[in-house]
Amino acid sequence: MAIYLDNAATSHPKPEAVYRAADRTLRELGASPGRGSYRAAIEASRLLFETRLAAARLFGITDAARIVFTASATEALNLALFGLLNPGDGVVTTSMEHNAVLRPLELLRQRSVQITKVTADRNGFVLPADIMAACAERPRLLVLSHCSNVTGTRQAIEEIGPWCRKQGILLLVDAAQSAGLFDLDVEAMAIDLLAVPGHKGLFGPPGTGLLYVREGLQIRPLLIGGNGGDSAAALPSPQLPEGLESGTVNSSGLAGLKAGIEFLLATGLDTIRRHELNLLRHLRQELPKIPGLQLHGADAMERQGSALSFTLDGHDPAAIAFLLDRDYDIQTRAGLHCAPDAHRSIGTFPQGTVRVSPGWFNNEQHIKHLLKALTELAISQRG
Amino acid sequence: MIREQDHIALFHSIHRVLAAEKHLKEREVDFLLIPAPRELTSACGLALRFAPEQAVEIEDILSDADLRPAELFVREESGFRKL
Repeated sequence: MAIYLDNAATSHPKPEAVYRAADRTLRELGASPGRGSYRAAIEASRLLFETRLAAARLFGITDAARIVFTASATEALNLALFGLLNPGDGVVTTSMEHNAVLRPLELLRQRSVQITKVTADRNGFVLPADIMAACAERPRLLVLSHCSNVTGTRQAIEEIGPWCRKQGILLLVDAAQSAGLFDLDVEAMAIDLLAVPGHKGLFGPPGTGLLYVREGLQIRPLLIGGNGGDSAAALPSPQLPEGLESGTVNSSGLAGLKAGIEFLLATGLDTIRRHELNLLRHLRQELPKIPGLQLHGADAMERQGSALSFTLDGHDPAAIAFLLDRDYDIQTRAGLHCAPDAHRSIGTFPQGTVRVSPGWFNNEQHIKHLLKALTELAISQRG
Repeated sequence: MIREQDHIALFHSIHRVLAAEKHLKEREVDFLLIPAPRELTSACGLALRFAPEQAVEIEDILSDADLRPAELFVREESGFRKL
């Protein structure tokens, strides 16, 4: 059976309850949340409501109405950036961002938003002091990822967030690689906007994500249309969450997400983190022993998330990933991972890296198989 | 469905009306979730209906939960009167 090590792209497999919840909703519930007042439609609305409560519990969010469901973290980031920023606004970001942040910011730059990028070190870490220095002119927003999708490096949000709040700078955190792995508390970390994928660490199906918008912060919708509210009004009411959620909701996906979050809460974030980071620790210890292999991860285990990258001297990462798949049935991802600036920072641009991202359903055996395969490849490919 | 003197609470948000429902259910108060009367709103939403005897308790519970209705009406002989 194939060994899946691409959980940074999407988690796989999902807990059994996730499949069951999505199937049951699609097969038996059917009705659209917020549309109609017959019992099934109300039941569908309750499902959405309870999914919001579960997500709120996970991120320390007091008012679940401040959670807006999206199709992905990408949509959540687009909603936050385009919904908040105006020409003339300043934004500080980092070189470790995914294209889901970089590309909206590039479009906004063309619309006269001023962008400042802080460069990470070769381990993918952005020094809080560098961020603070870049924020000297009090930008409107600081946007950064909690964990890199290339090196797994975890940024010091707990230090940067409260500092931003004191300075009056809004903070948008891309939690694509950290939600469901590291503790995220929007109050303690002073996060104003939090973008989260539903289908990675939260174990939901693809097509799910969310944006948390801090109380009192008003942003423009990305999509407008029907939302089950006042149909006679020319525009939807700005009230959250409905004001930012037009169009039919992905109720089967969100039912799966709810089951995924419940699995996460029942298993315990600590337990999941311990398991995944143990696999990462093993990788970090053993990978550098392979001849010609360069590891691209955080500088220390304390900053390591559940993804890391490597390169093998003299070999195209794409060829390594291809051979791992074809000859060993091990699924990894090669290339730039939608984060070109991150590779410039860690010195792997333009060839990229091979990324390994274990998840909850991986075990030590999987890591041993990978290490054995890479050792064989390193020897056989040499010369 | 709506008797004279019944109170009708509108929330202008499906999330909020369901949050209100959850709090009231937990406190075992007598109320009913109904389609919002067309006379009161063009929103295809939901409303809470309760008897006048429950009004004080319900309003207290909702107020404590920061879930005050956006609009509150009482059904009278001549129609709905806004409170």
